[in-house]
Amino acid sequence: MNRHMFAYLDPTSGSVAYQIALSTFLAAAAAVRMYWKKIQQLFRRNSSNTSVEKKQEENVVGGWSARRP
Amino acid sequence: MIGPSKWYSRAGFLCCLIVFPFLTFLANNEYGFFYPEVIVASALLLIPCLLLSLLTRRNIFATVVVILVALSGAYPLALLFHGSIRWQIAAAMLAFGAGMAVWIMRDRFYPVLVVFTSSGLLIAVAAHMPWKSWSHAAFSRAQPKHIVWILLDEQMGLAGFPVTPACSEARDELRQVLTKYNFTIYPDAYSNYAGTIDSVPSILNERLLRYPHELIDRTGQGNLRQYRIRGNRTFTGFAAEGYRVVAYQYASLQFCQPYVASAECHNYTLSLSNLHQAPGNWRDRFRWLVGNYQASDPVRSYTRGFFFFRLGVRMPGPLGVSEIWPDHLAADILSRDRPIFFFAHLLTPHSPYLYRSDGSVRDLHEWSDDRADERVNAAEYQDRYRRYCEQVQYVSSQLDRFLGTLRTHGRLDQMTVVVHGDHGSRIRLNLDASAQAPEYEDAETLDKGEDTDGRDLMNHFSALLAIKPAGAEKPRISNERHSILTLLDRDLFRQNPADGTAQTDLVYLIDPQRQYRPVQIAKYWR
Repeated sequence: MNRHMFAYLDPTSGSVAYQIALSTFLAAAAAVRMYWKKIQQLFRRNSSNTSVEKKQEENVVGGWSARRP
Repeated sequence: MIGPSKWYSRAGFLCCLIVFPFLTFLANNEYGFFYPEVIVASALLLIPCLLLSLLTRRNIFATVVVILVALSGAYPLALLFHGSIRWQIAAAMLAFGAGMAVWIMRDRFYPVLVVFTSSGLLIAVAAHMPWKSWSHAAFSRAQPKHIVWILLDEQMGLAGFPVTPACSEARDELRQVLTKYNFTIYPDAYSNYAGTIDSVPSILNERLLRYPHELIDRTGQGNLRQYRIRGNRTFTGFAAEGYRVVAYQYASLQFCQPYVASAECHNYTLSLSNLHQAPGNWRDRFRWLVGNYQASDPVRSYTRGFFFFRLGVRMPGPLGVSEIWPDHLAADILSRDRPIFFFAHLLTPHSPYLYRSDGSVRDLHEWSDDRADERVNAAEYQDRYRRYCEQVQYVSSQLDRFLGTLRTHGRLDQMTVVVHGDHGSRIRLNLDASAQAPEYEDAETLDKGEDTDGRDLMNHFSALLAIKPAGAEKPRISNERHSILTLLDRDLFRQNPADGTAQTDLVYLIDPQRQYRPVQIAKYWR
């Protein structure tokens, strides 16, 4: 079938904008959740930084462990 | 952590990039998921997901994901910038961004991707739940003198119908409806141009165009086109006289904003959910869904949306206006308590010709492959006109219902109502039956060899015009042969055509140099 239909389809640009904006927000929230411990550590850097916290920083990222099998 | 170490996890991530966009497209079209055609299409899309998940691992898998992110997100990202960046640039930006994210986040990138794509799908589903509908306001008790302007796309004039039993019946019904409501009918009226994007801007700006598409801006590419009128003298004129401008328009053809700041512009779309009105088997619907999905994004049209085949794009046309025409429009007019200039551009009886005269919808296979502007053989020409004329009969009954509602509420008599077509039917006979018909030759352009045929001109240009002045007490038939532009200038706006009657009574086809070639249509009119 020839694809040229002289059709004019609505690009639905209006709905795409808010769908992308909301999805981006939620994905960013998920990323922040994963890196939450690291972000917290970033702000605590000037306070006492125990060896236990250092170990936590290495191994635990949010609810997921980067090195857990 | 959810990672890409297992093949089924990889398949899941790929589904988010290959299957979810299809489901999001369906949700945006308010098309349910639990239909055979949707399940088959989704199952077919699972094949590349499974193949890629089994064949790729680690860095190669990450590269595939980056490429898919760039391909699926390029056009939506370009839309966000209102087309100011090309999709190729958007794809490069996305590929770079996704590549960096994979490099920095490693395996943690994939859960974020799942959240992004699945939330996009859920938002689309939520935004298009069945409760969404056109609202109805309460009727007003005031009796303002509205001006109602109904533009029926592809509605030919009474003199333009072929002489066949079905078309004679359609012509008579349309005449009877217009006569019943005291219209002045111009059976021999014609448009100056054979396409909507020239004829409507010309009529609304009350002048001829100097070159093709002079008064319309186009954005988008391929079939994803959006047109926006440049200037609108009719709207601004009525707004200056104190009328509130209310317009209903197809989202791809913008005649309303931004020329009257206070105008209410309502857009309707041709949602694929309307296909459920038409009987047909799942294979026909599958062709519609997949073809329109593939055409819904320029990148997708290159990648075929990850299907192994390509199907054509189709327009549901008049099915799309069924939500607003005629009842919602009549209710909206009746709810107004101050004078409005009410404009509605309705894609009916526009092709495809799918309604029977009683308003029932034909089986999908009867009209799915109708294509505007193709030349057809004599038998197909007869069949198309039979279906077109039945659709016109249904439009006549809708017009009767619309005007009857206004009359029942005692509002019609003091209103001025204009009903007109923008051009003719676009059904075209292969004039040289011995030769292969050119598949697509735009009705707006001169034919090769520049032969002009009376039937072609009648098909292209004959357009309905009927005007009911406020207070009209009896109908009238005016057998003058003039263009709609000439007649509206004279009988509605009470002025002489800006370009002179001699010029506005010509019709214009586009020559190979993209210039207008005037044609003395009066010579060919039967």
